[in-house]
Amino acid sequence: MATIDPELLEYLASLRESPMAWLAELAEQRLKALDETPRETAGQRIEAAHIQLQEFRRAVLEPIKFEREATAELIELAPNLGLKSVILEGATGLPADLMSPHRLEAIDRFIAVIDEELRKSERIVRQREGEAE
Amino acid sequence: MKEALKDAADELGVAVAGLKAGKAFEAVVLFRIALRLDHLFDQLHVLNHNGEPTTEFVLRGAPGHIPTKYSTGEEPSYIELDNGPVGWSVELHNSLEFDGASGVEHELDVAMIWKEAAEQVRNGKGGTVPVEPILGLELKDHAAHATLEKNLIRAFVTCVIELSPLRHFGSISVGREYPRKEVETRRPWFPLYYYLTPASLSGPSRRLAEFYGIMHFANLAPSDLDSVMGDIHLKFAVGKAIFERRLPHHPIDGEAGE
Repeated sequence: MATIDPELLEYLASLRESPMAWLAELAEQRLKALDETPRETAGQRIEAAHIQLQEFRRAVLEPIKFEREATAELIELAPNLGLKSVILEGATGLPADLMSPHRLEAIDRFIAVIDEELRKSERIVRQREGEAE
Repeated sequence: MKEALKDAADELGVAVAGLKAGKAFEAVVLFRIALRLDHLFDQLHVLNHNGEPTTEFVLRGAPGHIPTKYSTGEEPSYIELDNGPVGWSVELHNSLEFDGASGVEHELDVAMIWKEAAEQVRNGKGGTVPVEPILGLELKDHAAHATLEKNLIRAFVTCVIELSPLRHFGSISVGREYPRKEVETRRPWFPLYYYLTPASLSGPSRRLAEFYGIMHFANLAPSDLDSVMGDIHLKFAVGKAIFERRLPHHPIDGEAGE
Protein backbone atom coordinates (compact mmCIF):
# COMPACT_ATOMS: atom_id res chain seq x y z
CA MET A 1 0.00 0.00 0.00
CA ALA A 2 1.52 3.30 -1.10
CA THR A 3 2.13 6.20 1.27
CA ILE A 4 0.28 9.15 -0.23
CA ASP A 5 2.43 12.16 -1.12
CA PRO A 6 1.59 15.37 0.85
CA GLU A 7 0.78 17.13 -2.43
CA LEU A 8 -1.92 14.52 -3.14
CA LEU A 9 -3.21 14.71 0.42
CA GLU A 10 -4.03 18.37 -0.27
CA TYR A 11 -6.04 17.41 -3.34
CA LEU A 12 -7.97 14.82 -1.40
CA ALA A 13 -8.70 17.29 1.40
CA SER A 14 -9.94 19.91 -1.09
CA LEU A 15 -12.28 17.44 -2.77
CA ARG A 16 -13.57 16.22 0.56
CA GLU A 17 -14.73 19.74 1.39
CA SER A 18 -16.76 19.93 -1.83
CA PRO A 19 -19.91 18.13 -3.01
CA MET A 20 -17.53 15.82 -4.88
CA ALA A 21 -16.24 14.14 -1.70
CA TRP A 22 -17.05 10.75 -3.23
CA LEU A 23 -14.38 11.42 -5.85
CA ALA A 24 -11.84 11.82 -3.04
CA GLU A 25 -12.80 8.40 -1.68
CA LEU A 26 -12.47 6.85 -5.13
CA ALA A 27 -9.07 8.50 -5.70
CA GLU A 28 -7.75 7.60 -2.26
CA GLN A 29 -8.59 3.94 -2.81
CA ARG A 30 -6.76 3.97 -6.12
CA LEU A 31 -3.72 5.75 -4.63
CA LYS A 32 -3.48 3.36 -1.72
CA ALA A 33 -3.70 0.42 -4.11
CA LEU A 34 -0.47 1.52 -5.82
CA ASP A 35 2.72 -0.34 -4.90
CA GLU A 36 5.04 1.40 -2.48
CA THR A 37 8.16 2.44 -4.38
CA PRO A 38 11.60 3.31 -2.96
CA ARG A 39 11.89 6.96 -1.90
CA GLU A 40 15.46 7.19 -0.75
CA THR A 41 16.66 9.69 -3.34
CA ALA A 42 15.08 12.90 -4.61
CA GLY A 43 14.69 11.30 -8.05
CA GLN A 44 12.77 8.37 -6.57
CA ARG A 45 10.51 10.69 -4.60
CA ILE A 46 9.81 12.80 -7.70
CA GLU A 47 9.01 9.64 -9.67
CA ALA A 48 6.74 8.29 -6.89
CA ALA A 49 4.86 11.60 -6.72
CA HIS A 50 4.55 11.66 -10.53
CA ILE A 51 3.00 8.17 -10.55
CA GLN A 52 0.56 9.19 -7.83
CA LEU A 53 -0.40 12.43 -9.59
CA GLN A 54 -1.13 10.50 -12.78
CA GLU A 55 -3.16 7.90 -10.91
CA PHE A 56 -5.12 10.67 -9.17
CA ARG A 57 -5.82 12.24 -12.57
CA ARG A 58 -7.12 8.95 -13.97
CA ALA A 59 -9.21 8.15 -10.89
CA VAL A 60 -10.87 11.57 -10.81
CA LEU A 61 -11.29 12.24 -14.50
CA GLU A 62 -12.53 8.84 -15.69
CA PRO A 63 -16.01 9.23 -14.14
CA ILE A 64 -16.09 12.92 -15.10
CA LYS A 65 -15.22 12.22 -18.74
CA PHE A 66 -17.74 9.38 -18.75
CA GLU A 67 -20.40 11.85 -17.58
CA ARG A 68 -19.36 14.31 -20.26
CA GLU A 69 -19.75 11.66 -22.93
CA ALA A 70 -23.13 10.59 -21.54
CA THR A 71 -24.37 14.20 -21.44
CA ALA A 72 -23.20 14.87 -25.01
CA GLU A 73 -24.87 11.64 -26.16
CA LEU A 74 -28.09 12.56 -24.36
CA ILE A 75 -28.20 16.01 -25.99
CA GLU A 76 -27.96 14.30 -29.38
CA LEU A 77 -30.48 11.52 -28.65
CA ALA A 78 -33.33 13.27 -26.85
CA PRO A 79 -34.60 15.35 -29.82
CA ASN A 80 -35.17 12.07 -31.71
CA LEU A 81 -37.89 11.38 -29.14
CA GLY A 82 -39.31 14.89 -29.50
CA LEU A 83 -37.81 15.96 -26.17
CA LYS A 84 -36.66 19.47 -25.37
CA SER A 85 -35.43 18.75 -21.85
CA VAL A 86 -34.68 15.89 -19.47
CA ILE A 87 -35.35 17.05 -15.92
CA LEU A 88 -33.82 15.14 -13.03
CA GLU A 89 -36.56 14.57 -10.46
CA GLY A 90 -35.68 16.06 -7.08
CA ALA A 91 -32.44 17.68 -8.30
CA THR A 92 -31.21 20.26 -5.80
CA GLY A 93 -28.57 21.71 -8.12
CA LEU A 94 -29.10 24.05 -11.04
CA PRO A 95 -29.77 23.35 -13.81
CA ALA A 96 -31.94 20.27 -13.28
CA ASP A 97 -32.03 19.77 -17.05
CA LEU A 98 -29.56 17.04 -17.96
CA MET A 99 -29.38 18.51 -21.48
CA SER A 100 -28.21 21.92 -20.27
CA PRO A 101 -24.98 23.11 -21.89
CA HIS A 102 -23.94 24.40 -18.44
CA ARG A 103 -23.26 20.79 -17.46
CA LEU A 104 -20.71 20.40 -20.22
CA GLU A 105 -19.17 23.79 -19.40
CA ALA A 106 -18.78 22.90 -15.70
CA ILE A 107 -17.27 19.53 -16.60
CA ASP A 108 -14.83 21.12 -19.06
CA ARG A 109 -13.78 23.70 -16.48
CA PHE A 110 -13.17 20.96 -13.90
CA ILE A 111 -11.04 18.96 -16.33
CA ALA A 112 -9.02 22.05 -17.24
CA VAL A 113 -8.45 22.91 -13.56
CA ILE A 114 -7.29 19.38 -12.75
CA ASP A 115 -4.80 19.42 -15.62
CA GLU A 116 -3.49 22.86 -14.67
CA GLU A 117 -3.20 22.03 -10.96
CA LEU A 118 -1.40 18.77 -11.62
CA ARG A 119 1.12 20.55 -13.82
CA LYS A 120 1.74 22.95 -10.94
CA SER A 121 2.11 20.06 -8.54
CA GLU A 122 4.76 18.42 -10.69
CA ARG A 123 6.74 21.68 -10.42
CA ILE A 124 6.09 21.97 -6.68
CA VAL A 125 7.35 18.43 -6.09
CA ARG A 126 10.51 19.10 -8.11
CA GLN A 127 11.18 22.32 -6.19
CA ARG A 128 10.53 20.60 -2.89
CA GLU A 129 12.90 17.75 -3.66
CA GLY A 130 15.49 20.09 -5.17
CA GLU A 131 15.43 22.14 -2.00
CA ALA A 132 15.65 19.02 0.15
CA GLU A 133 18.77 17.68 -1.62
CA MET B 1 -5.82 23.52 0.30
CA LYS B 2 -6.10 23.54 -3.51
CA GLU B 3 -8.52 26.44 -3.87
CA ALA B 4 -8.91 26.27 -7.66
CA LEU B 5 -9.80 22.57 -7.44
CA LYS B 6 -12.20 23.18 -4.57
CA ASP B 7 -13.97 25.94 -6.54
CA ALA B 8 -14.25 23.79 -9.69
CA ALA B 9 -15.52 20.84 -7.63
CA ASP B 10 -18.09 23.08 -5.91
CA GLU B 11 -19.36 24.23 -9.30
CA LEU B 12 -19.42 20.67 -10.63
CA GLY B 13 -21.44 19.48 -7.64
CA VAL B 14 -24.10 22.12 -8.29
CA ALA B 15 -24.16 22.24 -12.09
CA VAL B 16 -23.95 18.53 -12.81
CA ALA B 17 -26.88 17.01 -10.97
CA GLY B 18 -27.03 13.23 -10.82
CA LEU B 19 -23.34 12.78 -11.66
CA LYS B 20 -22.55 10.26 -8.93
CA ALA B 21 -25.65 8.21 -9.68
CA GLY B 22 -24.93 8.21 -13.42
CA LYS B 23 -28.32 9.62 -14.34
CA ALA B 24 -27.29 10.94 -17.77
CA PHE B 25 -26.10 7.46 -18.73
CA GLU B 26 -29.34 5.98 -17.41
CA ALA B 27 -31.30 8.34 -19.67
CA VAL B 28 -29.10 7.50 -22.66
CA VAL B 29 -29.69 3.76 -22.25
CA LEU B 30 -33.43 4.25 -21.73
CA PHE B 31 -33.78 6.41 -24.84
CA ARG B 32 -31.58 4.23 -27.01
CA ILE B 33 -33.64 1.13 -26.19
CA ALA B 34 -36.84 2.99 -27.07
CA LEU B 35 -35.44 4.21 -30.38
CA ARG B 36 -33.97 0.81 -31.25
CA LEU B 37 -37.18 -1.14 -30.55
CA ASP B 38 -39.53 1.51 -31.93
CA HIS B 39 -39.96 -0.23 -35.31
CA LEU B 40 -41.32 -3.37 -33.62
CA PHE B 41 -44.33 -1.39 -32.40
CA ASP B 42 -47.02 0.71 -34.06
CA GLN B 43 -46.49 3.79 -31.92
CA LEU B 44 -44.02 5.33 -29.50
CA HIS B 45 -45.21 7.91 -26.97
CA VAL B 46 -43.23 9.87 -24.43
CA LEU B 47 -45.69 10.46 -21.60
CA ASN B 48 -45.83 12.24 -18.27
CA HIS B 49 -47.23 10.45 -15.22
CA ASN B 50 -50.77 11.46 -16.18
CA GLY B 51 -50.40 9.61 -19.46
CA GLU B 52 -50.22 12.82 -21.51
CA PRO B 53 -47.60 13.46 -24.22
CA THR B 54 -44.70 15.59 -23.05
CA THR B 55 -41.57 17.20 -24.45
CA GLU B 56 -40.08 17.49 -20.97
CA PHE B 57 -38.99 14.10 -19.67
CA VAL B 58 -38.81 13.86 -15.87
CA LEU B 59 -36.19 11.24 -15.06
CA ARG B 60 -36.62 9.39 -11.77
CA GLY B 61 -33.90 10.76 -9.49
CA ALA B 62 -33.75 7.81 -7.10
CA PRO B 63 -35.30 4.33 -6.89
CA GLY B 64 -39.05 4.82 -6.84
CA HIS B 65 -42.55 3.65 -7.55
CA ILE B 66 -45.07 4.23 -10.33
CA PRO B 67 -46.95 7.33 -9.17
CA THR B 68 -50.70 7.48 -9.22
CA LYS B 69 -51.91 9.34 -12.28
CA TYR B 70 -53.86 11.67 -9.98
CA SER B 71 -50.69 13.07 -8.42
CA THR B 72 -50.26 16.82 -8.92
CA GLY B 73 -46.55 16.99 -8.05
CA GLU B 74 -43.48 16.54 -10.22
CA GLU B 75 -43.51 12.85 -11.09
CA PRO B 76 -41.41 10.70 -13.41
CA SER B 77 -42.21 10.32 -17.10
CA TYR B 78 -42.03 7.11 -19.12
CA ILE B 79 -42.01 5.86 -22.71
CA GLU B 80 -44.85 3.78 -24.08
CA LEU B 81 -44.43 1.38 -27.00
CA ASP B 82 -47.86 0.45 -28.23
CA ASN B 83 -49.20 -2.19 -30.61
CA GLY B 84 -52.87 -1.53 -30.00
CA PRO B 85 -55.44 -3.61 -28.15
CA VAL B 86 -54.48 -7.02 -29.58
CA GLY B 87 -50.72 -6.66 -29.60
CA TRP B 88 -47.97 -5.86 -27.20
CA SER B 89 -48.08 -2.65 -25.23
CA VAL B 90 -45.17 -1.99 -22.95
CA GLU B 91 -43.56 0.84 -21.03
CA LEU B 92 -39.95 1.82 -20.42
CA HIS B 93 -38.99 3.34 -17.06
CA ASN B 94 -35.84 4.22 -15.17
CA SER B 95 -35.02 3.44 -11.51
CA LEU B 96 -38.27 1.60 -10.99
CA GLU B 97 -38.87 -0.66 -7.99
CA PHE B 98 -40.43 -4.12 -8.18
CA ASP B 99 -41.81 -6.51 -5.60
CA GLY B 100 -39.38 -9.35 -4.98
CA ALA B 101 -40.51 -12.88 -4.16
CA SER B 102 -39.54 -12.29 -0.52
CA GLY B 103 -41.60 -9.11 -0.35
CA VAL B 104 -38.47 -6.96 -0.46
CA GLU B 105 -38.41 -4.23 -3.13
CA HIS B 106 -35.74 -4.24 -5.83
CA GLU B 107 -34.80 -1.51 -8.28
CA LEU B 108 -33.86 -1.87 -11.93
CA ASP B 109 -31.98 1.05 -13.47
CA VAL B 110 -33.86 0.62 -16.75
CA ALA B 111 -36.88 -1.65 -17.13
CA MET B 112 -39.54 -2.59 -19.64
CA ILE B 113 -42.87 -3.63 -18.14
CA TRP B 114 -46.31 -4.54 -19.41
CA LYS B 115 -48.49 -1.48 -19.91
CA GLU B 116 -51.46 -3.32 -18.42
CA ALA B 117 -49.60 -3.99 -15.17
CA ALA B 118 -48.37 -0.40 -14.98
CA GLU B 119 -51.85 0.98 -15.63
CA GLN B 120 -53.32 -1.02 -12.77
CA VAL B 121 -50.82 0.55 -10.39
CA ARG B 122 -51.16 4.01 -11.96
CA ASN B 123 -54.96 4.01 -11.85
CA GLY B 124 -54.84 3.15 -8.16
CA LYS B 125 -52.70 4.65 -5.44
CA GLY B 126 -49.41 4.05 -7.24
CA GLY B 127 -46.69 1.72 -5.96
CA THR B 128 -44.12 -0.88 -6.87
CA VAL B 129 -44.50 -3.11 -9.91
CA PRO B 130 -46.12 -6.35 -8.74
CA VAL B 131 -44.97 -8.49 -11.70
CA GLU B 132 -41.57 -9.30 -13.18
CA PRO B 133 -40.19 -7.08 -15.94
CA ILE B 134 -39.87 -7.97 -19.62
CA LEU B 135 -36.44 -6.39 -19.76
CA GLY B 136 -34.24 -5.30 -16.87
CA LEU B 137 -30.89 -3.55 -16.91
CA GLU B 138 -28.39 -2.77 -14.19
CA LEU B 139 -25.93 0.03 -14.94
CA LYS B 140 -22.74 0.40 -12.93
CA ASP B 141 -21.08 3.50 -14.17
CA HIS B 142 -18.75 5.34 -11.86
CA ALA B 143 -15.92 2.92 -11.25
CA ALA B 144 -14.53 3.23 -14.75
CA HIS B 145 -11.46 1.19 -15.60
CA ALA B 146 -11.43 -0.56 -12.27
CA THR B 147 -12.51 -4.18 -12.03
CA LEU B 148 -15.90 -4.40 -10.38
CA GLU B 149 -16.14 -6.23 -7.10
CA LYS B 150 -17.85 -9.60 -7.34
CA ASN B 151 -20.30 -8.45 -4.68
CA LEU B 152 -21.87 -6.01 -7.12
CA ILE B 153 -22.84 -8.67 -9.64
CA ARG B 154 -23.77 -10.98 -6.78
CA ALA B 155 -26.26 -8.36 -5.62
CA PHE B 156 -27.79 -8.17 -9.10
CA VAL B 157 -28.08 -11.97 -9.26
CA THR B 158 -30.08 -11.83 -6.04
CA CYS B 159 -32.30 -9.17 -7.57
CA VAL B 160 -32.88 -11.31 -10.69
CA ILE B 161 -33.74 -14.39 -8.61
CA GLU B 162 -36.08 -12.32 -6.48
CA LEU B 163 -37.89 -10.84 -9.46
CA SER B 164 -37.99 -14.00 -11.60
CA PRO B 165 -37.69 -17.02 -9.27
CA LEU B 166 -39.11 -19.56 -11.72
CA ARG B 167 -36.70 -18.58 -14.48
CA HIS B 168 -33.81 -20.51 -12.98
CA PHE B 169 -35.12 -24.04 -12.88
CA GLY B 170 -34.13 -26.27 -15.79
CA SER B 171 -36.01 -29.31 -14.48
CA ILE B 172 -38.00 -30.45 -11.48
CA SER B 173 -38.56 -33.85 -9.85
CA VAL B 174 -42.21 -34.92 -9.88
CA GLY B 175 -44.01 -37.71 -8.02
CA ARG B 176 -44.26 -39.16 -4.50
CA GLU B 177 -42.35 -42.36 -5.17
CA TYR B 178 -38.65 -42.79 -5.81
CA PRO B 179 -37.12 -42.48 -8.23
CA ARG B 180 -39.05 -39.34 -8.96
CA LYS B 181 -39.60 -38.41 -12.54
CA GLU B 182 -37.35 -35.66 -13.82
CA VAL B 183 -39.38 -33.23 -15.92
CA GLU B 184 -37.84 -30.50 -18.05
CA THR B 185 -39.42 -27.14 -17.37
CA ARG B 186 -40.12 -24.72 -20.17
CA ARG B 187 -37.71 -21.90 -19.64
CA PRO B 188 -39.37 -18.63 -20.51
CA TRP B 189 -37.73 -16.42 -23.11
CA PHE B 190 -38.49 -13.33 -21.04
CA PRO B 191 -37.45 -11.54 -18.94
CA LEU B 192 -34.12 -10.52 -20.41
CA TYR B 193 -31.60 -9.18 -17.90
CA TYR B 194 -28.50 -7.12 -18.71
CA TYR B 195 -25.54 -5.85 -16.72
CA LEU B 196 -23.71 -2.89 -18.26
CA THR B 197 -20.55 -1.24 -16.95
CA PRO B 198 -17.61 0.82 -18.16
CA ALA B 199 -15.46 -1.16 -15.72
CA SER B 200 -13.98 -4.61 -16.25
CA LEU B 201 -15.64 -7.78 -15.00
CA SER B 202 -13.52 -10.51 -13.45
CA GLY B 203 -13.81 -14.15 -14.59
CA PRO B 204 -15.86 -15.19 -11.52
CA SER B 205 -18.22 -12.23 -12.00
CA ARG B 206 -18.78 -13.17 -15.64
CA ARG B 207 -19.38 -16.83 -14.76
CA LEU B 208 -21.86 -15.86 -12.07
CA ALA B 209 -23.79 -13.64 -14.46
CA GLU B 210 -23.79 -16.21 -17.26
CA PHE B 211 -24.95 -19.04 -15.00
CA TYR B 212 -28.04 -17.02 -14.14
CA GLY B 213 -28.67 -15.95 -17.71
CA ILE B 214 -27.60 -12.33 -17.27
CA MET B 215 -26.09 -10.79 -20.39
CA HIS B 216 -23.09 -8.68 -19.46
CA PHE B 217 -21.24 -5.93 -21.31
CA ALA B 218 -18.09 -4.47 -19.73
CA ASN B 219 -15.71 -1.63 -20.68
CA LEU B 220 -18.59 0.34 -22.18
CA ALA B 221 -18.64 4.00 -23.18
CA PRO B 222 -21.88 6.02 -23.44
CA SER B 223 -21.30 6.60 -27.16
CA ASP B 224 -20.50 2.95 -27.77
CA LEU B 225 -23.71 1.10 -26.95
CA ASP B 226 -24.28 -0.38 -30.41
CA SER B 227 -23.31 -3.91 -29.41
CA VAL B 228 -25.66 -3.79 -26.41
CA MET B 229 -28.54 -2.38 -28.43
CA GLY B 230 -27.95 -4.97 -31.15
CA ASP B 231 -28.16 -7.78 -28.60
CA ILE B 232 -31.27 -6.37 -26.94
CA HIS B 233 -32.92 -5.83 -30.31
CA LEU B 234 -32.19 -9.35 -31.55
CA LYS B 235 -33.29 -11.16 -28.39
CA PHE B 236 -36.32 -8.95 -27.87
CA ALA B 237 -37.49 -9.24 -31.49
CA VAL B 238 -37.14 -13.04 -31.48
CA GLY B 239 -38.87 -13.37 -28.12
CA LYS B 240 -41.69 -11.07 -29.15
CA ALA B 241 -42.22 -12.99 -32.39
CA ILE B 242 -42.32 -16.35 -30.54
CA PHE B 243 -44.68 -14.94 -27.95
CA GLU B 244 -47.05 -13.38 -30.49
CA ARG B 245 -47.06 -16.55 -32.59
CA ARG B 246 -48.61 -18.32 -29.61
CA LEU B 247 -51.48 -15.88 -29.35
CA PRO B 248 -54.71 -17.42 -30.76
CA HIS B 249 -55.65 -14.27 -32.63
CA HIS B 250 -52.33 -14.02 -34.43
CA PRO B 251 -52.98 -13.48 -38.16
CA ILE B 252 -50.52 -16.21 -39.20
CA ASP B 253 -52.40 -18.77 -37.09
CA GLY B 254 -55.64 -17.56 -38.58
CA GLU B 255 -54.40 -18.06 -42.14
CA ALA B 256 -52.96 -21.49 -41.34
CA GLY B 257 -56.26 -22.64 -39.94
CA GLU B 258 -58.33 -21.63 -42.95
